Order: sequence, then C-alpha cells, then structure tokens
Amino acid sequence: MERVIDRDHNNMKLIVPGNKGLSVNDYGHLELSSFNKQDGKEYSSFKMKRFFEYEKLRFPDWRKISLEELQLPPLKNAMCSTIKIKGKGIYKPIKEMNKAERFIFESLDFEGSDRKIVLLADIFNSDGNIFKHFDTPLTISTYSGPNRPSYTTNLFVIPENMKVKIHVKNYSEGLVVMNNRFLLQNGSSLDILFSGVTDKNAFSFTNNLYKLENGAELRITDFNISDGTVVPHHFVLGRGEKTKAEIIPAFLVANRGKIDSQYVVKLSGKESHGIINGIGTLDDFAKAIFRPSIHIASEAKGVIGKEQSSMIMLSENSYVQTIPGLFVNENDVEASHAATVDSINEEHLYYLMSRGYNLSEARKMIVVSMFNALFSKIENSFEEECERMKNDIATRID
Amino acid sequence: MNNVFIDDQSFNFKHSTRYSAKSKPGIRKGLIEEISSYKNEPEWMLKHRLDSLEVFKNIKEPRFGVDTSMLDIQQIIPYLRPEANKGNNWDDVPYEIKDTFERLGIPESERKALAGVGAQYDSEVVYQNIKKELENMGVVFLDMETAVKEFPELVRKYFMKLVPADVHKYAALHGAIWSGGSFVYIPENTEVSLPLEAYFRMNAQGTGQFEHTLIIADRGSKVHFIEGCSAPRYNIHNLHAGMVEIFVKEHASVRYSTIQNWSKNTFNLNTKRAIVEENGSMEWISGSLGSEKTMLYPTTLLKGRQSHAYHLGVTYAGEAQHMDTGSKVIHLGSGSSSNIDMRSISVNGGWAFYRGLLKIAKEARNSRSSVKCTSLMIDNNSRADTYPVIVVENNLSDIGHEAKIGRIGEEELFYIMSRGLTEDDAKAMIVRGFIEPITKELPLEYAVELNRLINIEMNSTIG
Amino acid sequence: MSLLKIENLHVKLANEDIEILKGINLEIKSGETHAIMGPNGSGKSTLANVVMGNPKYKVTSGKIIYDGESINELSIDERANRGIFLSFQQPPEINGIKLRNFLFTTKQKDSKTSMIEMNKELESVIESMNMSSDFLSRYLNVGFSGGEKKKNEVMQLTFLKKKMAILDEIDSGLDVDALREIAKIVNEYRNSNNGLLLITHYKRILEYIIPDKVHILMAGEIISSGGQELAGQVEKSGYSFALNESKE
Repeated sequence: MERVIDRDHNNMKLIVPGNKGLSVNDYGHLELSSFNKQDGKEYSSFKMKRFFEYEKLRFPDWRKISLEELQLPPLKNAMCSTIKIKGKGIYKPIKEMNKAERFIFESLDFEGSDRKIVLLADIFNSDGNIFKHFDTPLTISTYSGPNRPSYTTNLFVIPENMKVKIHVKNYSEGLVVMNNRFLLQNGSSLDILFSGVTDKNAFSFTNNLYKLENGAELRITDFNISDGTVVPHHFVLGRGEKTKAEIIPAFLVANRGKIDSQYVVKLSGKESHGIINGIGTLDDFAKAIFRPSIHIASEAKGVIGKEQSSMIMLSENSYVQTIPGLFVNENDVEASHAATVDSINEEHLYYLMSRGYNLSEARKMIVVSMFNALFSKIENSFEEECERMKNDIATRID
Repeated sequence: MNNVFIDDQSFNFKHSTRYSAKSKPGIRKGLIEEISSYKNEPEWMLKHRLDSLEVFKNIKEPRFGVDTSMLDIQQIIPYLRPEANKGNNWDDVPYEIKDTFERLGIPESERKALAGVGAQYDSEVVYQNIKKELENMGVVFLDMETAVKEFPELVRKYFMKLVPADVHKYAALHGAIWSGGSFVYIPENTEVSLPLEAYFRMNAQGTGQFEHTLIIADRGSKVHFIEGCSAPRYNIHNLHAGMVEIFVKEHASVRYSTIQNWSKNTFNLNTKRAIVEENGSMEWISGSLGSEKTMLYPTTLLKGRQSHAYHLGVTYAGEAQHMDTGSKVIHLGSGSSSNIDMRSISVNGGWAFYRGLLKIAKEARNSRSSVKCTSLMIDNNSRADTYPVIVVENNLSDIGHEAKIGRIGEEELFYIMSRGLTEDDAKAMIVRGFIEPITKELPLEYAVELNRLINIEMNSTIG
Repeated sequence: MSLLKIENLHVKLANEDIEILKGINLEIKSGETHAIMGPNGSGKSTLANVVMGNPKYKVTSGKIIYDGESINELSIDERANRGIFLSFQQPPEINGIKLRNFLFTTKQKDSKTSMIEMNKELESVIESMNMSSDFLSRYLNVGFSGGEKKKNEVMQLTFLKKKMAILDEIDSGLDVDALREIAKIVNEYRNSNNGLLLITHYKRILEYIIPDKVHILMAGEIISSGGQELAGQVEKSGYSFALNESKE
C-alpha cells in the first residue's frame, strides 16, 4: 500500500502519530451480503478481502475536523452518480472487474485521508466504474441528500499518449465518499477538475490516487465550497521519469464549514516536476487544514518540487492550519515552499474604497480576483465550469 | 566526499574518574529518595520527584519523532556523583575533572569573556563561580541544588511550572531524577553584559544526565546564557534529558545559546521553554551537532503584549544521526512578533527533520511572524525533511513561511575552486558560509568552536 | 615562451551530446594579450570555462597545455593554483562567506605570506582600485552591482597574482567610465610574464586594452585570426564578413 510519508531511512525510523478510533454506527455483514447480488467473481473476492480489513478498523477521531457528527445512512438509500461522456467511451461497472483490472486496482492501493473511509467506498459503493479508452471530455456528477449517501469507486486507465479531460462534480447535502484511482500510462495526460459544494451538516470525502508512468502529465484543479465538512485527499505518485504534476487547490469555506485537505506529490522518477499552488479563503467560523507535501525519492535527480499557498482569513473567528511539508531524499533537486496567512490586503481595500466601492463590494472584488487569477490557468480547458465557479464565489462573499 | 565526515575525536577523551556514588541502572523509588536525601532536599522537592515518578510510570512514549525503542531506560545509570565538592575555587576541583574541562577550554574562557561559569560533571556541579561585582548587584548564579536550599520560594514558584512533568515521558523522568544544572536570577533593571556559561559533561558510559536550568530575568533585565555539552563516545547508549525553563519578565531580554556536541551514542531528549511577558524578548541560538538521536524544539510562549521571539539554529545530521529538531512559538499576546530561521545540513546518510509549530492564538491580534527553513544536502544518501505546522486563529496577523532544500550549487563550487580551493575545502567553506548567521551571533570563542567542529566534521584543513 | 596552448580542442556539454567547440587551436605566449571575439552562442565562454575546468563541459579530444604541461586531467583548483584565473561573466552570489576570508584562505594555499602582510597587501590593492574596504567584510558578491562584481573579479586577479588571466566579457554591462577603470587595472596587470585572454562580444574594450592578436570564433571554430585591425572589421561589417572570408 502506498504511504504518504516514508518512515525509514538508513536504519533510522520516524514515529508517526496514529488515530484513535471513533464510535460510529457502522455497516457490517448484513449490508455486505444484501448488496452483493450482481457482483462478479473477482469483485466479490476483492470486496471480501477488503471487508476483513474494514471491520477491524474504526473511524478516525480527528481532533480539528471532528467526525463525531458523522452518521452512515441506510445503505439501501444510496444514490448513484451520473456519467456524461461526449464522444465514444468504454467503461463498465466495477462489479464486473476481471483479473487484470483487479490487479491494476490493487496495485493502486492507498490510505487516503483515512483507510477506513477508503475501504467504505471500495466495499459499499452503490456505483463505480472502470474507465478505459475514452474520448473526452467526461463528466461525472454525484449527489448525496439527507439520509441518502453516495459511495463511488472508480478506476481510470489513461492509455499511452492519450489526452483526457475529466470534470468531477459533487454536490453534497448528505454523505459522499468517492474514491478514484488513476493510472496514467506512458506519455498520457490528464486534466481533471473537481468542483464540490458541501452543504451544512454534509460530509464529503474524496480519495484520489494517481500513478504516473514515464512522461505522463497531470493537472488537478480541486475547487471546494463548503459550509459542511469536506475532506479532499489527492495523492500523486510520479513513478516514471519526466512526469509532470500540477495541483491547484482552491477553497472557500464559510459559516461553520470545515475543510481538511491533503495534496501529496511523491516523485521517484528523474527530471520530474511537481507543483502545488493553492489558495483558500475562510469566512465566519470556518476551519481549514491545508496540507500540501512534496516527497522526493533518492536517485530522483533533477526533480523540481514547489509548493506555494496563501490563506486569506476574512473573519476574526476563522481558524487555519497549514502544514507545507517537504521530504527530500536526493540532493540533486530543487525543493521549496512558501506559505502566507493573512487577511485581505488593506491597501487594496483602501484603494478600491477610495474609488467608491463600499467595504463589502471591495472585499468581494478582491476575493473574486484572487480566484480569477487561478481560474485563468484552466479556463481554456473548462470554460463553462470556470464561469459557474466564479458565480458561486461571488454569491458567497458578502 | 567519501570519508570526509568523521567522528569528532577531540571530544573523545575519557578520564577514569573516581565517583563517590554510582546508582544501579534503572529508575526506582528508593533511588529517588536516596538522591533527595543526599541532596538534603526539602520535603516539597521530594514530593515533586515522587509525583513525577508516578506520571512517568503511566506515560506512553511520544507518538512522533525519533525511534527510541533501542533506548532502555532501565539500563541507564541515572545518578553518578563524582568525588568532588561543589566550590568556587578552581584549584579545589580534582585533577581529572579539571583536566577535562581545561581541555574543553572552560576556565580559559571564563577568565577572558564570561561573567560566570558553572561546570557539571555527570550528575553533579563541580564548580560554580560568578564575578564578585555581579554578586554584589544581586545577580544569582548557583547550582540548582544550592538554589533549592537558598531560594526555596523562588524555586518552588517556578520549578517545572513551565514544563510540567506530564508534558511528555522525558519531562516526567526529568522531574523524578533531575540533578545539577543552574539557577539564574537577574534582578530588575540589571544588565549582565558578559555571558554566563554552564558546561555539561557526561563522562561515564551508560549514564543519564538530567540537569535543570532555571532562569528568571526580572523586569527590564538582560542576560545572555550559554550552554555547552559534550561527552566521549561509548558503545552503549547515554541519555540526556535536561530541561531549561526561562521566565522573561516585562521589558526583559534573554538570549540562550547552545552548542550541543554530545557523542554519537547519546539520546538527546531535551526540553526547553521560555515564557515572555510584555515587551520582553527571548532569543534561542542553537547549534545541534552531536548525539545519535535528538528531539528538541526550543519553545517560546509569547504571553505579553509586544513580546518578541527569535529562534536561530543549525542542525547537523551526519552518519547515522537522526536529528528531529525545530522550534515552537506560540503567540498569545497582541502585537507579538517572532522570527524563526532554522537551517540544517544533512550528510553521509544522516537525517535532519525540521518540526515546527507556529501558533497565533485568537487573542494575539496584530501579530507578525516570519519563518524560514533552509536545508543543505551534501550528498544523496542523506535526507532532509521539513514539517512546519502553522496555526492561525485570527485575521489580523501576518504570517510568512518559506523553506528550501537543495545541495551546494555547482556554480558556486566552480567559482570557489577556480580561485584555488580543493573541492572539499570549497564545500567546507560554503557550509561555513551557510551557518554564518548562527556563528555571527555567538561569542567569539563559541563561533570559533562551531566552525572548528564543522571543519572537523568536514575534515578540512583550512581554518 | 608558450604559456597557454590549445590543440585541436573538441568540447561537448557534459550531459548532452551537443558539440560546442569543434577543433580550437590557440597559443598564447608569456607577455601576450589575445582577444577572442564572436557572436552569442559561438562558444567563447565555453572555451574560457573549459580552460578553467568547468565540469559542465566535457573535452572529447584535444589538449590544453599550460606552462608546457597538459592540464586536461587537472581539477579546477589545481589549475587555479598553477596560475590560471578566470573572471566570471556572472560571478555567483554566495551568502555567509566574507570576501576577505575567501581571498586569504585561497591565497594561503600557494604562498607563505603572513596574515598581517596579506591584509596590508589586500588593503593596498583595494585602495589602488578606489574600492571601499567595506567590500572586504561583505559576503561574496552578495548585493554587488554589476559593475562592482566585475571590479571585484579584476581585484581578485591583481591580489592573487595569477599568471594567465582569462577575462570572460569583463566589459559587459559597464558604462564608459567603469570600463576605463577596469581597463586600467588590467593594463597594470600586463607584463612580460603574464598572459591575458580577453573574451568579448564588442570591440569597445579593445580600444582600451590593445591585444596582440584577435581571433574570431563562430559556431565553435576559430574562423579568422589577425591583429587589432580584425576587430575594426567586425565593428564595421559584423561577424559575417569573417565568415565570408573564411569561405573564400
């Protein structure tokens, strides 16, 4: 299983804190057996294996972003996601996985933000697909309602030299758990946008693992608006040489919303690039944890890894924690990070107000312009979505 | 750069010293009572020790940092009293001990540039002296045991109040078994212009050193305290779990400088904390070079308005060294500011892990902080990590953090070599340049010492 | 006597299979000043760096002979200690190393001069160049202006007393006054024992430092050699004239 932090180095060992368990009314054998009617042979055994691990684990007792309010609604209420694909696409339900696909699936295993939550969607998913040989663009939308959870597990195999564009849309009024595993074969490229809105009292977990072969290129834009609890986890493994990964996290959390986001780029191939460049704004009683990290393996010569983040606090009641980690095992690299946390630039506010904008207009303008600068990078690929996201931000900031 | 980084031989001399008391390995209640009774301690201190022991028995290992499973505390000799009386006359110190400290340059630097010196050999202080004029001004510089007896109110009020025994396992252990260390009190508006120094030497194998340093800088006072440590190398583990507590009152300023050069069989699990009142200032200047494993994060609590913290340090992780070091600054007072500049060098397979905490509490409005971490990796068999946690709870503060990890630039190396230096010398020069901000802040003798240590480590011939 | 002799030198980038120098021949005798001119990318700086031993480049064939011995296999510092000096086109800024310490440490390598004498000597060199002695306490090139960096380079040459100086675009980015000042220092350095190789893009500097020979380097080859007049022709008709000439 892929771990974020390598705990060993030359006979030395790093101690990493674990989580205490939380009591949540959990799914068990009953749910497992009632939902495996259409499962294929490979999938059943895959699922059983996972279930043995699942039942031994407990939900995590996170200190800052507490899951104490988390409840698992009856599985029979689970929602399915909708898939829109322009052009031709070949995909099939995960339940029909064959031996080869199962092998790929299991080679892309990871802890996610928490192993228990990853396993939850792997086992109890109401839908999930294996995507191969598809033209672009592809849109996957999920919805969860009060008492109507959505569990999804997808596997994407991007064939050699193919360029793929995916938009994952998520709207949660209840509980969403989504796992995505991506294998980017030699020379392929993936441009993926996640846009999520999480309502108050809702929980949204996305766990994503990307494995990049030689020359593969990946760009992830992860945009979240949250009044509830959102926990995005993106883990990029640059295994091949000359891979490129760029992650653009952006969030706006307000009211009593919370976000605990983790973006990991782990490079082991020579001359690869990893960039994480994120922004976040917090309003009202929002809480945010932002954890970007770059890991460079020994012998990954010529790697460039950069992190940058700026957190803007709009309210005196918000809370932000950023942990920009660098973990470097090779000296022929450039690795850096820069992080700032502050409020809206007062000089900018003053300037705008001197031109006749009132305080809230000026604030809105500044925040929107921050996101605009970020969206301008992806507008070519996701024009419509960018417009929608900008509108979402503007209506949120007052 | 093969064979360039060697173990430091110049600290590696051993003296067969006579001890008047040597405890059996392990921590037992009886032993603690014995130590307390030997030290003639008041009842409250014995109680403090026994309470700490209870905490220790029930506490778990830290859940982060270096692996301490190799360290068996029940195999450590926690108390070792050299056959010497505490005194302020250097001539009275037994020959072997005197020779040890003379080789380390202690009395020499006292004559030259210090206001006072304390020297601890294994578990007990063997020499403590302060210049007469400072004593007359009311400056107190005593070994900790004497202070317990002579200043019981002050000690009782402050001792382990900043670092309670239940903070972590090694704090609890320290609370139970502490021995030696310094007590410093600087009266109001008193400035001690020359530094005070304490030197800690672990001489015997398989022992632990648990000295306690308590500094109280009263209103408007100023002091610079220097701590040096070393030990000869043994094949079995030594443990250092010392503690430093510093109380910086209103408008006072304290600088605490450390050059840590424990031998590479030492577990250095040390705790250092300062609390700063209004307009006070705390500065930690640290060079961590020795030990096999270190966990140390000097901490400043900026309690008062407009209080200030400055953390400047370099960590050196050579062969088989796992150095988990960093800094913690917690802003509680409004308008408080901090400046953190931490550097590391990893080489020959060593592991330098920077762990930082910067917290701006809700009430610390208009605070400012700037954090910089820089890591130099000499080769690709080593590892450098940075893991800074930045917590901000209000929107009126200004926080910047940056980090960089990289190697010696090829162009810089070429430039210096083109002026006639060998590759190793050029690298050593660049490394010295890299730590210059730290050496610059140290008194001359220590700056020279730090450069010398780096040179020895880099096996360079240049001076 | 031949001081620096380059024989049929072929050079590639160390990491890539790109040939930059394609058979350079050049001989500088003691007391001589040569200038190499050429457009950007012709390989001028590469030549300077290869003589100094920059690991970015790989000599694939040919010889560099200094003082009668091949120096192909010598490390950078060994070359420096034999008497070769390269003034960098863009000297790097290195934090934490004070100029004074830097110069003393390297000077001590090949002379037994005492610290006090060195200091005296350095102060007088600095003074003769109208440089402030503050420079000596500043970090190596850190925060120096373009002109100050160049001046610092020739100052080092004078202080370290190397026999074979290669000045890589010492004139770039300088105004006329600064150029004159630097030329004066360089002319003072010239004597019957020292050799000097000027690498330049422009003729201007050659009006202040008169070379004995001028070579035109294009696409990794010396396509024309001559006296001072060659520089004049470059100025008039650009580098292409030399190319035409060589084709004839």
